[in-house]
Amino acid sequence: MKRILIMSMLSLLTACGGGGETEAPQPSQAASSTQAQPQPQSDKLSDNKAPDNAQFSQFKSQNMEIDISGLGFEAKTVFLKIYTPDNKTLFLGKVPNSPSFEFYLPNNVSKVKYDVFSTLKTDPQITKEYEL
Amino acid sequence: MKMLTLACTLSMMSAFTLALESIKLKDTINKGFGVVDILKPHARSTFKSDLTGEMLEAYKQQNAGNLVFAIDVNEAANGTEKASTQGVAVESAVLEFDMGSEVVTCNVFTTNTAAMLMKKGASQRSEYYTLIGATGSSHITPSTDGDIFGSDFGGTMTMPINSEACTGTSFDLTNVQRASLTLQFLETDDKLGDPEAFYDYSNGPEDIAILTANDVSFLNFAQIGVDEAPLVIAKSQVTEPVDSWLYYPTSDSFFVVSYEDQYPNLGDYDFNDLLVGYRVGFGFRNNDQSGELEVVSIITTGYMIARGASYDHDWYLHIPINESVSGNLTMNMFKEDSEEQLNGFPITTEVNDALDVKILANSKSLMHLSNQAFVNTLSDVEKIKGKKFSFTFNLDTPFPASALGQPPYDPYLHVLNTGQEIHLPGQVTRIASSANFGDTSNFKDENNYPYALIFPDDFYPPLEGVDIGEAYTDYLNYTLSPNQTNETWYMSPDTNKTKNIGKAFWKW
Repeated sequence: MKRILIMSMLSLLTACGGGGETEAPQPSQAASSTQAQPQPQSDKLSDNKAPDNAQFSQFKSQNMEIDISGLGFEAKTVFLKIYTPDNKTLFLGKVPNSPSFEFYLPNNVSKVKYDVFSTLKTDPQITKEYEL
Repeated sequence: MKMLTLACTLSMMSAFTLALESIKLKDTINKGFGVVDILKPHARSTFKSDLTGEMLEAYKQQNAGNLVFAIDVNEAANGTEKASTQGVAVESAVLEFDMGSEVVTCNVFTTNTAAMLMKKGASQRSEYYTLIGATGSSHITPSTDGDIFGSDFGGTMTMPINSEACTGTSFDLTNVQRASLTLQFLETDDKLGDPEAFYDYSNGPEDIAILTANDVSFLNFAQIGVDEAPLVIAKSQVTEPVDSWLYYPTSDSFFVVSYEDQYPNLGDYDFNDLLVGYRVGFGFRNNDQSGELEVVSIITTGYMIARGASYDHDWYLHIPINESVSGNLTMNMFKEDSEEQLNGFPITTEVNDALDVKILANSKSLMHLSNQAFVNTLSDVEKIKGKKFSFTFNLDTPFPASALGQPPYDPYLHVLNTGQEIHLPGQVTRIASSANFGDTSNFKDENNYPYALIFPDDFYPPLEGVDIGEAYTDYLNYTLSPNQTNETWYMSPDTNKTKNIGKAFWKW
């Protein structure tokens, strides 16, 4: 039965022009894709052959750059905390002037928050959001 | 006669100096506050009598006019705190000496570390002294007679006894009749996560010891727990802590990797043959010349979650780095729900070339129930907690952060029954003796599904034999047509087809 379903699925893939792509899409690209996909035979993986562009990652890489030197801090040592909207810390510590980061976050996380502060009382303490 | 008297005096002084040892005190800090009688030794101290004014004065003279205390930080509960690193922040410390003729109070203190922290109710971070330590260590101090020997006392606090730090007119402690230390830890806004969560004081109690100069030197050199603590601002003896930490996925969440272990054959798609939660932290130092972040330390923490397999496995974590690396790696393996490690742990080994660590050897022996082949994947069988592991890798030579590979890295399985390695798609085999060494199959089955998947830690494993597509009815839709509606498919398990074992249970 399983083989029959797989064969059916293969036929369906061929008929719909699906499959054949060798490069897995980035999640963000896939999310906006309007490409027709074959209808699953059931919810079970065992009943459905996966196309080559199937998405198996629940995470995506996200980049972030901050220009600390443009924030007006006088202190030589500046601290940065980067965290998710639900207060889970990604980065914490002293930073150079223009740090860049690559995070690997669940697909539904599209922004992070960050605090910049120093030990100088005259320096500002900044909290901002960053769209990834 | 005068010579004889002098000799006797010197001899007695020498004997007294030799006899002075670090002493654990009777009183403790509970819920962040304590009034500690510093003349009362702990019942299990090697010193059985009350301390005297002469002894306090001798401690002070040994420590260049300061009394120095060690705190056994016992706070491994929140943020990135764990057995190997935990901390509190000090809001105030006051020594009070009843000299008979006057009461002298001293309220100046320093520790070796500080952090910028948000006090509960405050709107901005300020710098506070911190105390950092660890549990489970057993100090080998120069003196075996003091209470620091064999203990896990951590951070030290130094309090000067002089006119600038104290009220009163006399600072000779010889005639002290009563003496106390009132210590208040900072109540941090721990809802903010680290660093506030790390330095909160939710746990305790904390023991305190008064220190000899030798033990002060020992503890300040050892810097217990400092390397892994967040946001350390080094003071005095602490010279080179890590400047910053970057965590994947975050400081208090985990990647959950799950496997189908029948490779290269088709599995049943329940993706529960082995489930492991892990996170990785990178300790950076700022290279002031290049402006780059350099990796000086790598830490990993994780848990066994479930084992729905007849096969036995070894589980590895390979962190790809585009450079050859070397250094010391210390591996910890904790018994279930315990700070006690398995026999033989911790294990320290030398790493050369690649960071590829066998973390779980023989998964079957590490996680099993009597009379059951499967653990935490059957609906009508009790769930149990799994082993916790961690490792710390301190590099001989830092490497630039740009040389790091991509998360979630390369967590892989070596199935002992078949000899096959199972990796995430895109990875390659690592073990020369594996049955599939050199295989370039991309680790997908004949239906084009991977044998390993990575989930956020909200994931509940499907029950034994239940296809993941049945356990999560949006999963297949997501794999075929991911969009914002179905990208959190793992948040909607069919509760009749998944094992109710969430992070709140398996992360202990």
